[in-house]
Amino acid sequence: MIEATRSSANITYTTWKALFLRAAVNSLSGARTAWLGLLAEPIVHILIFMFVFTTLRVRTIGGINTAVWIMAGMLSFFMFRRAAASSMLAIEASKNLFAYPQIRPSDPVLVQAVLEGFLMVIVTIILLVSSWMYGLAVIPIDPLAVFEALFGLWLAGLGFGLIGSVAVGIMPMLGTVLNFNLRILYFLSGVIIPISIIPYPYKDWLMLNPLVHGLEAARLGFAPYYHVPSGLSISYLYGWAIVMIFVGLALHVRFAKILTLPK
Amino acid sequence: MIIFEEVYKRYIVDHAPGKWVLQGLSLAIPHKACVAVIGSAHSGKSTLLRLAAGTENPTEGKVVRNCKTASPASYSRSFQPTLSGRQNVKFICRLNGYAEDIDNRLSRVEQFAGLGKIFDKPTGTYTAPLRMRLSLALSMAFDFDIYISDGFNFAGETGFNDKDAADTALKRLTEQAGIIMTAKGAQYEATLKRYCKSAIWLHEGQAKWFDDISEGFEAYSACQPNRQKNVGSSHQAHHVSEQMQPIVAKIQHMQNALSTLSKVVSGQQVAELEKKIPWLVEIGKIVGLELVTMGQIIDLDYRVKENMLPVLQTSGTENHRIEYYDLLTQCEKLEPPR
Repeated sequence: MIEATRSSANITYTTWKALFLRAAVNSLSGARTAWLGLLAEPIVHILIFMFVFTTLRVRTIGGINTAVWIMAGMLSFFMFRRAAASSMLAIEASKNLFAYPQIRPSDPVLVQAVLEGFLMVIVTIILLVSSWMYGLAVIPIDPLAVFEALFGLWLAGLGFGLIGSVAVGIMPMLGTVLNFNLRILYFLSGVIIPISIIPYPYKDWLMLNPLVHGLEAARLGFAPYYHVPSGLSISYLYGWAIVMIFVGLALHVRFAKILTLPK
Repeated sequence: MIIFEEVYKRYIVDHAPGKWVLQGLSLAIPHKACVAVIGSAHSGKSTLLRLAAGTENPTEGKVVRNCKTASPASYSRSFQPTLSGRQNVKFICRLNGYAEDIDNRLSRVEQFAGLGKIFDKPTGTYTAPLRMRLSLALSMAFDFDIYISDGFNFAGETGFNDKDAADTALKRLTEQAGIIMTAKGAQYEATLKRYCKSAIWLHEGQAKWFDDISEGFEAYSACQPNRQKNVGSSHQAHHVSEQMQPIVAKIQHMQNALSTLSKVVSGQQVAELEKKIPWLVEIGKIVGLELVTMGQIIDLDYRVKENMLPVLQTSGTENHRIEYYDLLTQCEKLEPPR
């Protein structure tokens, strides 16, 4: 008999690697200009709001250049949203793959989140380097703090994606609802509206949103003299992220059978 | 060895659990066994094969699979339509742990499938026979103990130029590894007997093992008194409700035409035939067949006779009638072939 057993770790590793390469090829070469979309979306968002703020003659926000403020916030938010939005739909997109017993429903979700994080790091570097060449002060003073914030946001995106993928897997309608929620978060996370100008007590309510902490921490990493809102805590973001990931994984274990049912 | 322990299986149909397909089935399939799965239409043959391949999980009970299986059906289902054949094959190689050996496996697949330039085109553009050919080549490139073949008509559907090559490959395969298969087409009994020694007979959600395949077929035939008779005989007509009678009669008429067609037409004429007889395509759509080769006409004949007619005659519902109505408007123009 052929040696039927590979170790579990080996199977998981090869499965992830195969899925990652497939997803990467598919998202970069699936359509003719698929790679362009990856770059264009954050650039367009950044340019629109730079235009708006320039028209309003807002030169600095919280003590730093408006362009840097927008760019840092936008790229951090996209790190969360890309990971969340695409990993949420990963199960639906790879239903046919569950014909292979070695692929569990959580695998495409994890792989998709890693891929989006990886692509977002590349996009971030490209954008920062090109704006640095353009003369903006976008090189972070404290790169580790920026990395910490981005990683926390990515983890939160993964947690959101894990929970969301189970929800969408059980009830496809929820995909629309969750996507709508992600759009609302765009306005509630201080991407385009500075949290520090919001009056008390609404500001405290907004500070309950963990993404605000991630975004403000990232901006603080770019410029240590940035006026952060009081109560900023990066561990609050990490706490949320870890709880969401564990809830998501638990849901994946609980609903594994339903999620692998063919369409 | 694949062991089924008290396996129950049902599917979700229209948001509610459907009827039980398998009910407390217990079975052990030794490795290197060549087994045919037989049973009437909707008796759960394909379900059994999917459970054996690990493609699906049982609703209740356990399936223990401590061997490597190969099933072309699941390969062909997992092809990503935007990726090329080559990229899809690479993915499946990596997934099955052949990452180091990928070039070797890739060239084996390429050679066996013989797709030429199409191998680098997106699989979404492939026709059904091409996809089948690729998945067959894929399963041949891997090591396995048991090969699972669900209604795979080697000679007819894959469109291999050299039908003997496919036959030899399968014959060689049954010598080295085990095989679990169902077959379809007019000569399905002969096909199964050619490759298999034993049989599993599925009946009312249970399985019965026969060491000798002929015994299996005898038991199966004995259970179906009407099977050998001509479905068009008046003997069966009293099962059919009055409303259904004209429909059934017409489909029987079509089926007779198909039988004649399958004897007189050769492979090259199929495309012309479709133009001449419009209902051929329509009926193909209903039973899920794309008509490309000669083998498929035979297959179509078989499916109409074995699947469509029994369903209509015994449990023809409003839906079925509506479904077949459009078809029948096409059949008005039906002329029996030469």
